[in-house]
Amino acid sequence: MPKYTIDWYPNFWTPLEKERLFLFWRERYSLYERRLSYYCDSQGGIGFFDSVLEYQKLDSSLSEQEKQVKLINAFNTRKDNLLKEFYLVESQIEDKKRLALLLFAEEKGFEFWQTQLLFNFNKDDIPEFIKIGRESIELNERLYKAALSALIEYDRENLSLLTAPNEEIHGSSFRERVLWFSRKGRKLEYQKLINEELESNFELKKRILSKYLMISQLSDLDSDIGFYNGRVSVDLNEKAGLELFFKEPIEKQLKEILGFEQANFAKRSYVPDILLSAESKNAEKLKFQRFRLISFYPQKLIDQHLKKRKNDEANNKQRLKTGYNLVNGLVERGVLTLKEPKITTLHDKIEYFNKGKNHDHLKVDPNSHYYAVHKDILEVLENDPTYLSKVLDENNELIQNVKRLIERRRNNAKILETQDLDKISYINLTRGVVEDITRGKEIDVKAELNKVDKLERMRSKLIHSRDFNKRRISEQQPINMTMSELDELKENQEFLRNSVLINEEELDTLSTYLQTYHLNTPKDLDDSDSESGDGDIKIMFEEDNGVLFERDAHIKKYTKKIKRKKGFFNFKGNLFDSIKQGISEFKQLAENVFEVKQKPALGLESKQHKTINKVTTFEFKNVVKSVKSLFELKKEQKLQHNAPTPFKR
Amino acid sequence: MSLTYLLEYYYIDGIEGIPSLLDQSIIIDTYKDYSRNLRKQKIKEVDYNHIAVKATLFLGEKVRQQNYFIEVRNMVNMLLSGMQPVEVFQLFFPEKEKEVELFKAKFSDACHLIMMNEEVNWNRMGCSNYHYYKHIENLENESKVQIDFYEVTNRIKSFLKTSSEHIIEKSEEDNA
Repeated sequence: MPKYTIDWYPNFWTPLEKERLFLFWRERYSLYERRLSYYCDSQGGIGFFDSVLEYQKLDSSLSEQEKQVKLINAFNTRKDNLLKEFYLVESQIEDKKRLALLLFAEEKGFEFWQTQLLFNFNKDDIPEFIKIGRESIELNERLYKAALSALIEYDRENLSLLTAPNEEIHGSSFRERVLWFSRKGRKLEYQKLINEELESNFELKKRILSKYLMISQLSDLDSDIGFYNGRVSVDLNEKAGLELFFKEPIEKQLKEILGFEQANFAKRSYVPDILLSAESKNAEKLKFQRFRLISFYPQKLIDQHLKKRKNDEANNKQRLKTGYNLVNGLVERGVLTLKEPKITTLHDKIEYFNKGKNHDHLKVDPNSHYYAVHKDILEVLENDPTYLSKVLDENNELIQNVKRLIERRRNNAKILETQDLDKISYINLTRGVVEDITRGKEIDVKAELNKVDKLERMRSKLIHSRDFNKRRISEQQPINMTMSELDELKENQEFLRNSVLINEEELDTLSTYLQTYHLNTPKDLDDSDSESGDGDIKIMFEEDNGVLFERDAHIKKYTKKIKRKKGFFNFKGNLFDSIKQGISEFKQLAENVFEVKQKPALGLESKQHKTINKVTTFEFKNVVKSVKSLFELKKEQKLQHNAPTPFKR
Repeated sequence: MSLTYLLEYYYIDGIEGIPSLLDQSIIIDTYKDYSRNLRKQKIKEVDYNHIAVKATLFLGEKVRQQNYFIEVRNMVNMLLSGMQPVEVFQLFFPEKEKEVELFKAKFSDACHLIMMNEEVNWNRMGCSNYHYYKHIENLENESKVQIDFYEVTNRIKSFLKTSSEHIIEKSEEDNA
């Protein structure tokens, strides 16, 4: 498939670009037939039925009319299936919204194909026929483009990888599924998705199993030690590991899976481009790839994406203005040029980034480890010691845990008093019965110790520079390092790349984001006729459980806000009220369009025309009648049209 | 601001004499047959009085009329599905400058049709997307009601709890 680099926020698209994009998107969408999850019954439609492309795919040995009949049947079946999904009880509002767009786009695609077939003109045809054929095809193409772009826009808003032009569309990540299935408040049963991921991802299951087996093994080692042929063996059911995993809070389960995914992403060579504009793809920026991989879809990038969208919306005014200029016959491209702020130092950049953010929590703290991600955006050096030391701080808990495990092993080794620590390089796991020994995952204790030591060494090395950077962040200079030190740093970075699971901040945001939409459905509904209390709900919860209440109240508040702010459709009560209001507001803006308009001569202008129209209609009916009889006659004579005609209604 | 044409024309069955798709294909097939024959016989001049050509010209006239209203109906459909007027305006904005005037009339008609809501027979307008969104809107309202109900039951629970505690406290005081 051809790959195009597309600017997601173009000021304008040339007709040629539009054409290329139209073909590109049609092809891409019709190739996409991925089912993201089997547990989610409705996904908002799978695949895309482009009638023109489907028609080309049909067996060439069939006659034209057979092919047409086949396509119409295929389209109708497809439409029925989509409608079934639309009215499916399991389909949530977001699924329905996408399905509506999908149905609309496919319907327009079908009409486009129909018109193309009907008005198939060539240079030998009379000019009147060519003109009307061209007009009709162009109209249907325009409609199809509009409907398809509405669908693409919906997908883009919800960060579907399908809309990232350079992204491979085979295979899907867990994070992508989480994002897609929880889009705009879509309710998602997390646990089921995690179960499904574990069932389908064998590598992940193996990893989690061995990790949790190790933990449970070490914590129970004192009581369950057994000996077999001079080796240490522990009785453990394989299930115990997964059970332990599922006992963890949902956030931790998520963290585990996302961490695994990220480690795998780091090994891959491609960079997801969904949030990056075309011009950022230069060699200079490629070295920041690491940040992208570690924080694939971090909240901050998503925020930036949304911020850009907002800017784009503000830009609409400008684009509209250009539209008016076109209307008045004045093409002013100058209006479209955006002014870039002048930024030279890092301080400027952060200041610019924080500009207009009223709340402190939205601002980028130059001392936060997270500013490194912004630095990616803001083009600052990758090998920043402040970031690394912060990451080390973040992973302090992990280091401590590994240390603790090793400590316990040392103790256990002492208790066993059989061999030297270095000689025990693995522990065998048995499944209940002693005879059936299976070789477990080998744990290299030495390597683990080395890793921790390396981290420790680097930490002490970097601590002084962090303090320095805190003071003079704006005048930061690269630190002088010897070649060996640099190599070590690179090695450590390599290690970090695989060990950083997910940032706490990212996890928090993600889990709050998901919890936000987990509005509990009432389980124990109290149907008693008692009167309701006059007080606020707040009081009750504070008495009952302070912590839980805080969260719930926050969620409710947040959700309300979201519904007002981000709701895809702002319907309040009557469907028309909001739309009417929007249009009347637009009308005020678009005075040019509404005030000055010319009637196109369609032959339907006045009462007089209406009478003429009636006369021509009468005449036309007669003509059609005679053409039909002519047609019938030819049909009888030639007996060529045996296959049913596709345009039967 | 008013509609460019009579409201009647904007409906799917508004313009009289639009042939069905089957009829359209018959007319065009007959015309194509005629033109093929001309080429076979190497005749260059087309007879505009031939019934096949005449029918095609009439058809062209009708299709031209119909196309105007098709585009308006689609604009209405998109506006009703929650799309912002600015977006629709940009989506349909023509590439050729000579089509701008026609576009202006179409767009303003689409807006005006929505503004005159009550006067329009929406079933005859045939806006498929609009019907989907009406269905979704009803669902959204249902879910809102459910949440409110949940809040009310919570309030009742809290009331019962606080009042029962109050009673316990009071009885303890009385006992003391």
